[in-house]
Amino acid sequence: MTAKTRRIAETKSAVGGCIFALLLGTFILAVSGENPTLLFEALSNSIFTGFGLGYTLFYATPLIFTGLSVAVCFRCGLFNIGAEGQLYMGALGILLVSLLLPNAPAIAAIPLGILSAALLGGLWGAIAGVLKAKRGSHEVIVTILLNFVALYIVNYLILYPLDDPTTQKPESLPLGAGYAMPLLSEIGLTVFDTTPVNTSLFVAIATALVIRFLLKSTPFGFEMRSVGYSSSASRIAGISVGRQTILAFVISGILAGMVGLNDVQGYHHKIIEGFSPQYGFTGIAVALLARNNPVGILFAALLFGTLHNGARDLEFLSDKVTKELAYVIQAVLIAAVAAPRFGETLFGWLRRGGKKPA
Amino acid sequence: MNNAQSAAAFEFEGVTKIFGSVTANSDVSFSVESGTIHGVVGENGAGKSTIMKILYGMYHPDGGTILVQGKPVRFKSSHDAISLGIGMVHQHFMLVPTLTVWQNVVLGMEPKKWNLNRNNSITELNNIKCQFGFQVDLHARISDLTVGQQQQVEILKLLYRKAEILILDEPTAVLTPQEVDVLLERLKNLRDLGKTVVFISHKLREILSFTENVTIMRHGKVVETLPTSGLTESSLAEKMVGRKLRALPVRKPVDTARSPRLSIDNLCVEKDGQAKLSNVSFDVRPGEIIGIAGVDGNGQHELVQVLMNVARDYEGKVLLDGKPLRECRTYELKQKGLAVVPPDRLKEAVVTDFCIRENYILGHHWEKEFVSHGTFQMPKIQAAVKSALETFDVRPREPEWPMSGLSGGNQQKVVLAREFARPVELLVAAQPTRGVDIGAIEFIHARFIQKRDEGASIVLVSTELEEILQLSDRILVLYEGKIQGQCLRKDATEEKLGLWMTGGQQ
Amino acid sequence: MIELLASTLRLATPLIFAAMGGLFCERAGVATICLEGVMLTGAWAAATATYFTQDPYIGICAGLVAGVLTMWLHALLAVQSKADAIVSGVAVNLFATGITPLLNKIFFGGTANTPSLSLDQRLSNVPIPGLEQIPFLGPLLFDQPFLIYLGLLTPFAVAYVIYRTAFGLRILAAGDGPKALATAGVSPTRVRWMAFAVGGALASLGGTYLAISHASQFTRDMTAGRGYIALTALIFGKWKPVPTLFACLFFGFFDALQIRLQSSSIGGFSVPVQFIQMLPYVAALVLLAGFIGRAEPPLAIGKDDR
Repeated sequence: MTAKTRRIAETKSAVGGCIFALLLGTFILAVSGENPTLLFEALSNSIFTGFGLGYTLFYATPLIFTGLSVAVCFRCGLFNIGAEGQLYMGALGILLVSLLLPNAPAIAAIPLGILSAALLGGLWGAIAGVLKAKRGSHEVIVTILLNFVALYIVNYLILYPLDDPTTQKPESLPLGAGYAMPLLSEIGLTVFDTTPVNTSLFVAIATALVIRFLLKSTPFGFEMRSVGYSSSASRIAGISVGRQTILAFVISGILAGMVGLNDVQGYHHKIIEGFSPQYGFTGIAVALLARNNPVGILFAALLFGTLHNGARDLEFLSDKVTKELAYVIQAVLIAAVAAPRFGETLFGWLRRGGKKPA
Repeated sequence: MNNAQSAAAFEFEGVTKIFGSVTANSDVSFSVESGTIHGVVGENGAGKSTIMKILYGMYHPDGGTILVQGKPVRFKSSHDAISLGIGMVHQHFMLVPTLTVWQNVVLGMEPKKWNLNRNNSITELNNIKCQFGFQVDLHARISDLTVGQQQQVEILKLLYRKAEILILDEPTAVLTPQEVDVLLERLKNLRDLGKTVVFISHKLREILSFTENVTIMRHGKVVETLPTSGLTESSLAEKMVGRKLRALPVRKPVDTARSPRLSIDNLCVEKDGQAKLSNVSFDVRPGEIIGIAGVDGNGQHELVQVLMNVARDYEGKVLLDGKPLRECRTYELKQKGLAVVPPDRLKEAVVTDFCIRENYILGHHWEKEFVSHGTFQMPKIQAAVKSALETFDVRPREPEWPMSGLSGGNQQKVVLAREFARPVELLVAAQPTRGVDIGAIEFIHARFIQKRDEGASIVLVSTELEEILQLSDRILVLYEGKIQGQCLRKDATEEKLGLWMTGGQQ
Repeated sequence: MIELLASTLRLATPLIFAAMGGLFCERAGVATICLEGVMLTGAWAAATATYFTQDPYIGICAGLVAGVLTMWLHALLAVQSKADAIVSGVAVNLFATGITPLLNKIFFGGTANTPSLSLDQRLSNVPIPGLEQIPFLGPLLFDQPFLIYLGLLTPFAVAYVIYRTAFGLRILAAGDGPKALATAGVSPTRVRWMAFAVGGALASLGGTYLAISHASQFTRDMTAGRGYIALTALIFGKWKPVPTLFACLFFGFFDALQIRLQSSSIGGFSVPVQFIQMLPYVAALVLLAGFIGRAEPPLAIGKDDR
């Protein structure tokens, strides 16, 4: 009963947030002296053309992974702000295995790539988990700091020892040919034309379903959620809170690490400095919007993929705004979802004529 | 008392308060004479606290009027109530644990805004202390004080705010019998100095011994307001409960020939260099209930943590059927028949964000009857939960109902249903009836006796002496981490236990 | 060596302001990971206002206003609407990251930077009479922009406010026992809004200093994680003003060291710049891993007191 009214309030708030975010977007466009309908043009291009949809799905794929990564930790009562660093480490894993076995055939190379991305991402996640479980360090600060460290490590490697000597760009050596994830256009979906959307999208969807099953139908997932809701009650019930904490971060790291499937194995076929346009942070927004529901994350990732692609489009179409507009819209969306009472507060305050509530 | 003197300090006229679908108070009317001690009695959930929180401005009434000194008032917040000389000591103390006594007292009524002049307010506080005979160090941190001292701080707060009407919500629940006597003396003293005291309690003896008038509440309504003289404990109880209480069934004597199931030998627990438990030794036989009494914070917490196998860092032996407890995994212990009812229901016994079904399997979620091939067998779980809800009379009988939507009594029944779903060898129960309504208390007590008669060993930790006396076969009193005294149920009296609880010897 | 000390001081200043701002908010019982965003908007507003008015002091005022407003966004979500404080912090940071380049584009057409300020538009150095005469030390340590001195004094002022005033007492109560505060007739929500105003103003000074004193313009993401380092310093300082000051100086020192090392080589081997840049973060991680003992945050942080 109360759960139902809360859900209604949340949905209202999310929908209201979307509308408010779009209004704010058009408002910003208008202030910049741009035609406000451009926003809608850019957004509809991103969905209703094969080319646009291809890019949208390409951006949505990593967001599924990072969204799941954040959600698994959330379900265990932990805040993973470290997906950004974990995804760079995962990408590094792919690069390393490819340098080790450059001539592996696709049938072996693709799983190898996935495994090593998972391995390095998982290890990087484990650091935060172990520090939290064994030393009580706050995971938010730890993961933020780890992001910087991961970024510097990967940048160093791709700029010095693993640099591609044939180009001046800040890029690593290329992957072995077998490591490439097939593009969707290559497997018969010609509607996607030359866009980089690739088969890692299917891996992402399958992963979401696996995570859903894990959380909902297994004792292991039950323990994880139990720890997330109440670590004290879980401990008394005989659940090892420390172990679940570490495992949650390992799984989160694995999931974030798999972003490399899309951007490294699926598209660039090498690591480019700063290839992630803040996928890790957008993943937080995705998880929040989906209320940490794995299937919901698929849709939320699609929404944010559209937003991201649309904002990029906008930058091409207009010389008056930048693609950072997407961040502002995301922020408003997060606010609307995280604070169902946000709208209520705002309207209540206006109704009372600017006076504090009694 | 003659009528000329008996001006009403405050008066309720038809006050009603509704929370969602629950009517907490309906049409409450009574008045309290100034300069008296007025008792308000009723079961848990009878609406005693709610009506007093309305007077204190914490809740806004949905109907009716409140008169203070004969004038109708409408409080926007407690701030308004405070300024009219109304003060309240809550059941759970409202103190900031990290601040000192002095800081807590002046909080919100600081003498100077930009330079908290210690000397000024401290002199004033010392005066109040002397006038009313309080003994508490103004510079001590709240977290270092005993419960009794914290209560003094709460009353000091009211006096510093020049409160004329003092409301005390269940003030004796956390005190030893001796501390209670001191408190009651103090309150009489305050009355003699002209203050009005409202005393909320469900302990009838206290109400009878020192209030002038008493208001009896039941189901959110006032049953009656009448002078205390002439009332007896049983007449008051009947008015309060509205029926006669059932007596507990007769039980089998303990078979002293059987070897102990749980045996604790020289248990010592240390935390931050402080001894929390020292040299605690006792045995529990099958079919025996050991009651552990004592004021909160004398080592009960640590003992329960050890018995629940959560704390494993201790010295001494704790053996269950001859095997060291801490060498077993909690999961194995549960399979062997360890059942626990943790003291803090909402934090330790249940996961409030889970539904009933999920709480029912918590701790048993790897059991073969619920899981096969690593996956939950939903139909089997559903069936088990449904029948358990039936057996334990949980309302509503909805496995998917959120735990947070149940009353305290029904939540505790779910806990029992879970813990009693398998044969029980050892039951560790701490504060099993805290925040539970009378009907559920009877139910829970009856189940404990039933388990005992079936041969379970029970360790019952409770700060409610009445509960300890009612259920135990043998009683131990913890004081500062040591067993201060122990006796059989038949040799126990409240006075004796109270003495032990305060560190006295006999 | 003295140069390193002076550089430590310069690099610690934004951390000190941000950490002191964070101290107000967190002691009032609300996790505040949005210091980064508050600094960012403060920096942009200060640089822009200074550019248009040619007066760095108006720039400082603009930064203060922007900082308070940004922090109040966090208050609106986390205090007034009871959203999770961490989530709210993420949203505010994201908002600041997005809104600054957008506004920049609207005002200046370029995306990344505000136009460079000339030397006389930036905050000028204020020598301290007497002390600046000390050979070597004087010119380096006692001939600095006034924000640096202010930064060093702020923790002591904060300590006074927190421990000696009614406002401070209420902040501590809001952080450690909001219910007790409420029953004493003071609204914790109100106290938090006020604490956030002070906190936002202080944290914005960190950004302002970066934009119009340390550098001569606003650049995109110019805070570069300093808000998070400040938060770490706050944890090491156990949420106490003066220990936090030392933690900030410690991180400032590492930052100064990394800049110093970038232009030097150790034993003929030049250390890659990325590893040197990593230094402050690794230092923070190592410390967080518990070499300073467990830190206890204000009791109400992360708790539901609704």
